[in-house]
Amino acid sequence: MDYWIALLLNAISFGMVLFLLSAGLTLTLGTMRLLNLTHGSFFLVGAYVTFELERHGVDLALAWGAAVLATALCGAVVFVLLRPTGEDHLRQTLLTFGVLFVIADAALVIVGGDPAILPRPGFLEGTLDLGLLDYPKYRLFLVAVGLGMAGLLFWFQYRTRAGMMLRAVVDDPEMARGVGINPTVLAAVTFVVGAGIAGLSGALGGVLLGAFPGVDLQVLLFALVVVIVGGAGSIGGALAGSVVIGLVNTVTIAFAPGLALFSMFGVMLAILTLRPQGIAGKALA
Amino acid sequence: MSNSVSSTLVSLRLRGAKLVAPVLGFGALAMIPYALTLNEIHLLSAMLIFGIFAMSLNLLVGFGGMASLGHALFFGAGAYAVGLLSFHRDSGFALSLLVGLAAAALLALVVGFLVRRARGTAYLMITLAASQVFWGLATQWKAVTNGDDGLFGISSPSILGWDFGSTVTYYYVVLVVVAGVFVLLTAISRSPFGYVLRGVRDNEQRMRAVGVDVDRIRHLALVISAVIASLGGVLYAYQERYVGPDVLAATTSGDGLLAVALGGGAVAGPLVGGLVVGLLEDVVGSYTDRYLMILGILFVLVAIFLPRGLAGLAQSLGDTVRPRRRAAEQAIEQRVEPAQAEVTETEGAHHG
Amino acid sequence: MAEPVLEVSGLSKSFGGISVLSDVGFSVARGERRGIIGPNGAGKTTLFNVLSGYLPADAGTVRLCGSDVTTLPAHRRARMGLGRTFQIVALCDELTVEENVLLGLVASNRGEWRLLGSLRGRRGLVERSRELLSEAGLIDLREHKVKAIAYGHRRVLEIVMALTSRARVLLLDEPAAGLSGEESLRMIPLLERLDRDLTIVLIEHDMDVMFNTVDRLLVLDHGTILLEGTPEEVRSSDLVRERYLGTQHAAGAGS
Repeated sequence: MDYWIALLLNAISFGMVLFLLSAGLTLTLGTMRLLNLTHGSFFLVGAYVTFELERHGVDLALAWGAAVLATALCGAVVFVLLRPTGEDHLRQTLLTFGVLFVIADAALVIVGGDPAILPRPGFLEGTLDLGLLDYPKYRLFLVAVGLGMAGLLFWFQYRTRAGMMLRAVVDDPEMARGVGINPTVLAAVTFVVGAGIAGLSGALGGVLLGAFPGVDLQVLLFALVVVIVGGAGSIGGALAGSVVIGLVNTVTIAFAPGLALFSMFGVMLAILTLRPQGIAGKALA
Repeated sequence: MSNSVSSTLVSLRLRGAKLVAPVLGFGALAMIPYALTLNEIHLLSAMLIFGIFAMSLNLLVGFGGMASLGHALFFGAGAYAVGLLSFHRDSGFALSLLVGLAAAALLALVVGFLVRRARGTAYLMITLAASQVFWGLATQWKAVTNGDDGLFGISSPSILGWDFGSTVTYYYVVLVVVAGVFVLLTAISRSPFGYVLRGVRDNEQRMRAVGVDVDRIRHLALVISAVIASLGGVLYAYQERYVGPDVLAATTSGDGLLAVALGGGAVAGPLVGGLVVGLLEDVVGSYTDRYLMILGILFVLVAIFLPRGLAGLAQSLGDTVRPRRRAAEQAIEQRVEPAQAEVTETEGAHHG
Repeated sequence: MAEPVLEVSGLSKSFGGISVLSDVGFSVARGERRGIIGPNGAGKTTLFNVLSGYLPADAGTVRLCGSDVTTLPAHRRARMGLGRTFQIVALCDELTVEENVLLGLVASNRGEWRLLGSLRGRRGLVERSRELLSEAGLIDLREHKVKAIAYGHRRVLEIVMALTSRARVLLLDEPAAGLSGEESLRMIPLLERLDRDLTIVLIEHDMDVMFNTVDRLLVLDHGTILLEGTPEEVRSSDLVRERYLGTQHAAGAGS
């Protein structure tokens, strides 16, 4: 029994990291119809900035903040670079792929090829007695941060003016333009904020997923599958997709580790067959 | 009457001009080994194999408008078919080739089903995710794939007792296959299917309205493209005598897209793009560790500054450098046009 | 009266709970020219999309030349003789005018699966395409890419495309949309020249084009049929004048 509860909690805490990771990706897909391949690189940047700063004696909370700012800055640079490519998918893909290479190589130069062991704050070391079982505090912290971020994004989307504009653009970019929403500004803000959140996912989630050369593409795959399963442009979809992928991945790793990545294919196959638009989204044009 | 003769002459001249470049190109490729070292010939084979991959991808991207980030899956299917059959069974070339092509066709049928409703970004996402999953399988299912170490023990390729594994012989085998793929894809590009595929790229609604089963056209394009890519993969495995997960990686797909975008154009462009990217991989990699950085910057530069690839660049350069020749060509076209106009007027008179 | 080639009954369609078509039924005889009018949002284009298979019907049946096509995909209906044009021109922009026409012709022969042999070298098709393009006055433009020709010419090509398939029924969705008054007047003889055996259903806001072309009219309002009759009957109907014609006609003449 304990085992199963622990497994479930593992799945959920992993799912929350996935949610932080994919929230930005799903929003850029929804608003810009853009597949940003550097999204996994933002995770890498977030994790490495945290690692390097903490190693040089910076307070961890400050390092987290710096990681978010650094990735948001990366996001801004990528957004500016993307401007001349217009809406050409091939060119967008090439560009973000190129930036992915550049960031990966720069990270290799600066941090090196060894896996970085990410720090945890002292008060989150050890376990917490949940009655039925003792469970690592840090994972519970991840669940809290994930849910908190989900709450914040929901509030933003449904309770603020900018959030309503965002939903309007996701639903119908043309109409949104018609009622005077400037989609470029909105897309820029979404892109930068989404990058920052992905950076946070690296800073916090690197403890679980690791931070090493190649993690960028690996987490990109997770984020893609989450968005495919959840449906593009939807925070709720990203949350649902993250939990589903968290569960499938955790359970597969527990019982058939070699098939962990392959199980993603099964989930994709199922969702694309049964519900091509994803759990909560609408079909991407 | 004279009109149709002159337009036939013009089209023959144009067709003749179009043949010159490929014939010269392949002729040069056939002669060049005499001037190269064995290492250089080996590199040229690798570049040509990457050219096959780029040409196959362009059928999907350029003709079909389906930008895929998962084409490495099919290249890898061919390569892994050879690797696995050699590693576990010690099978020969012919069987490995057949299994490789069949595996790619089968995978393309499944992936094609996944992307049947996906367009644009969704197509990129699903193809990338699908190929990454198989990359994961190659790295993680160590009992079968030998993980990151990859598969060794691929013996020299031979058919009916003819061993063609020596560097020079293999180069010519690769060259013949490249020429074959080039001719095949050129034929497809001129065929009804090739045009219908471009029609689907430009306007699906219209193609449906004239009775085309768009989903199946797209699916067939994916299968053809996958089978050609896997042919490249099979050749790759026998060239390197080794297969590792890198052939399935997203970077391979990305390099393919770079080659397609760099080349531009119909069939020759992606081949040239593939040769250039294949050369860069080797040259840059041997001079610096910062290969990834340089390639990344190249991706960015091509995306921003070469929207129509080298073919587009050559065309616009040609237009500025040779305005006189361009004018001459227009004059030929115009000589045909007035005659056509007369025909229209008489037709119009009938109706009026 | 000739046999009906297009029979529609009980057709309904709604989007997210909003009913766009409800219980629409009518039939069109062979060779008939039928116009559909109605205010914006009346469901005209939705009706076309359901008839031609671009949208699934929620309820009701569509019969084409006697066979039930309600659940068939668009391309199957096209092969059975249902041609259509689109309100927003739908052509292959990167191909030439002639290549567009050849695509339509080759598809009507089920030739789209041929991987070998040149499309442009198929003599029979090329001759037929030149005929069609000459009749439509587009022959001079045949080597131009579609994206490079004038909008009015694209509108005409849109109709030619619908003629490439062996269509028995043509659905024309605002063939004069976006054309100047003069250009849309030129559309009338083009429509009149079409084979009298061809059945045509026409949506058009330009009343000059409409009243000069059709035999009967169907007035659609809020997804239901308000009236069906000859142009004279419709013109003299108080109901229609009040609901639609008065304002629209004035606006149409003004533009």
